Amino acid sequence: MSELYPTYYLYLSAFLFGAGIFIVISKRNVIFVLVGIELILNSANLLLATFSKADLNGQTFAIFSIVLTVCEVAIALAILLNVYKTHRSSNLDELNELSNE
Amino acid sequence: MNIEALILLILLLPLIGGLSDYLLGHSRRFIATVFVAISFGLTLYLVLILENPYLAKLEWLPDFQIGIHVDKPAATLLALVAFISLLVHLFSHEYMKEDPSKHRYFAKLGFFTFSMMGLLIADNLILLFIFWELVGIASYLLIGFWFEKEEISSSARMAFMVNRVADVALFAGILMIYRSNGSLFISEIDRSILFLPSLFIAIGAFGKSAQLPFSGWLVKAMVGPTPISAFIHAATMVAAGVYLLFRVGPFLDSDVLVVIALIGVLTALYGAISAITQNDIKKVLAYSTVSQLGYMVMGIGVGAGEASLFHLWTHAFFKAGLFLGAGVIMHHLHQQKQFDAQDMRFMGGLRKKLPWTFVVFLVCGFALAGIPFSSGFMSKEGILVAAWAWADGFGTWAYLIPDVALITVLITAFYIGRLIVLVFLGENRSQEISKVIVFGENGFIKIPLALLALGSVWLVYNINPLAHHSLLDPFIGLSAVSSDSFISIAATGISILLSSTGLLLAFFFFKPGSSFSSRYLSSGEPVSIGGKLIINGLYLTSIYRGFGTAIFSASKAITWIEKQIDGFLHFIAVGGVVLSKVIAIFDRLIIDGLVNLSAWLAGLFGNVTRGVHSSQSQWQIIWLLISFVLILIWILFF
Repeated sequence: MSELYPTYYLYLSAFLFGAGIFIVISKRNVIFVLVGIELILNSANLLLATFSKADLNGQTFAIFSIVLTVCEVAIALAILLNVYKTHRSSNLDELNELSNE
Repeated sequence: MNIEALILLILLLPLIGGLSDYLLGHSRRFIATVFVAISFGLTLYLVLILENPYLAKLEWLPDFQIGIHVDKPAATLLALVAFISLLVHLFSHEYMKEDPSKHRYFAKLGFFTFSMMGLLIADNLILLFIFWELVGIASYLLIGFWFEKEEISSSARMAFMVNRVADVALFAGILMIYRSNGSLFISEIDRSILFLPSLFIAIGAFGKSAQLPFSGWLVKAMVGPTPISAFIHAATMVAAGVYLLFRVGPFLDSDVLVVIALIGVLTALYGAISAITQNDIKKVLAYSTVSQLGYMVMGIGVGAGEASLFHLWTHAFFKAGLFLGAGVIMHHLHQQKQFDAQDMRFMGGLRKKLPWTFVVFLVCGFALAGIPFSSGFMSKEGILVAAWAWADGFGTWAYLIPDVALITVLITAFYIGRLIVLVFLGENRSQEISKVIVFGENGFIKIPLALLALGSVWLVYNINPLAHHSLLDPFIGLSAVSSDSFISIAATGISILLSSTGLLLAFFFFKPGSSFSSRYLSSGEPVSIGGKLIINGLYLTSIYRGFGTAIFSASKAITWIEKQIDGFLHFIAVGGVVLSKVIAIFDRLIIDGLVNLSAWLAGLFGNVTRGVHSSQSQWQIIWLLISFVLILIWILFF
């Protein structure tokens, strides 16, 4: 049972990553895309915590990662809010002002 | 006075007089009449002093000369034209008194006289042709004088156009003569003219002189004012053709002369038969002119040009007398609107109202019929005897010509007798006539009529009433008709017999009260085919019109064919366009297509590769994942 112990975490992490990728690809709304990105980040955090069972380095790094993620999300939401104010839209396909098409 | 100035004055005075009358306006003026009278006096002087033929040439264009030629016949005919013109002028002063455009009338009359005189003295054929056409246009203007009426203007047009057809032939003949003889002067023609030019010249003369098949126009020309009819029929226009034939006659091809004689005698018969049943007094006289012109043309054809010219001369007097007399009658009856003033069925008994006219009609009518003691007898005998003598030397069938001519004498006497009986004898058949204000026979009417009647008796020409030529002949410049004495006596006897019979028959059939007369007077238009043919003059004018229509239809048919050809060309053009379109499509699809296909393939490849860098961020992620998975697969399994 103990040898198989990390395996379940890896399955969970892979599921989170897949779900995050799916959300990022399939959803048009930027909010959902951010949620998907959070899921992908959290799958990575879960991997960090899983593989640092012997020491605390990995778990500490995971804590730092979560804090950074919070900052990143706050900044992303702020940008998103401004973009929404300018373009009255939060749809990724319409936010293509930088494109040359 | 030298002779050039004399001729020029004679020629130009009528024209100047007419023009000044025209320019000076509407009031009753006599300038034209006085000038024509002077011109007439000068022509008499010219006839007296002219010894030898007068010839003159002048350069008209570089290397092109025109010339005039006045010999005794020409001078005499100048006098005749001037005299008839003078009488017509005098008569018209009374006849056209009420007409608002009288000044225009006299201008045209002067122009007509001028043209005819020019034609008489022209020596150059081109100059003659010019005056020939001037005579044509002047007659057109005068026939269509009352042009406001549709029928009149169309009749004038028909008269003009029928003449044009013949004139084309004349002009062709003139050019051919120039080609073969090298000279256009009649006085310089020294050898016989070839067959074809002779024929063309003859056709031109037939047109002007209203011979078959051109006779129709002369009857149509009756719509003009009556003095004009007198002028056209007596001295101008129709005389032009006879005069031309007289001038060139000695040089014409002998076969053509036979044709001319044949056409002449047929026309004489045609005119006489058509005149029998006419109800319109002017139409009787018109057909009789056609018939008499036939005699003259026949005379030319049998080589008796002098006799023809003599007949032209006498005919001018009695026909002008008859026409002016008819003008008096019509004017007299014209106030009656209830009936046609030219219809003889409504006349009768006019000898009491118009005694002068009656006498003139008697004298002139007898001259037309060829009764002895009249001028017409002498001149007609000359032609008949000449024709007989000609046939004698020619062969059996040639007797056809004098025989038909003699039959025509009978018919001529019959129709003119019928006219006189119907118009003057008996009682008036129109009741209202007594209420009419009578149109008087005043001096303007009487003098011309009396002079014309005087010119129709034998004494003026020869003391012997049975002679066939005039004592004036050598003076006029004509040689007397020489003839076999037997033929002369036989022709004279038969002719007297026939003309008297004709007159008696006419009197017997149409005398007032006879059953035939009353049946005729109550009858309407003829219904049988023969009767219709005769009263309409063989429908010649309808034939002309049909001819015009046929040409019109033919041109329409040609237009149709052209359209078909156009359609074919159009088809070819459209085919070309379609073919080029097909080639264009081939170009576009196959040639361009190959190039475009390669370009499209390159574009497709570009698009596919560009998809990696799509502007849609999610696609970028997908591509990223695919690449990542591919790389993983490559690392793990290879």
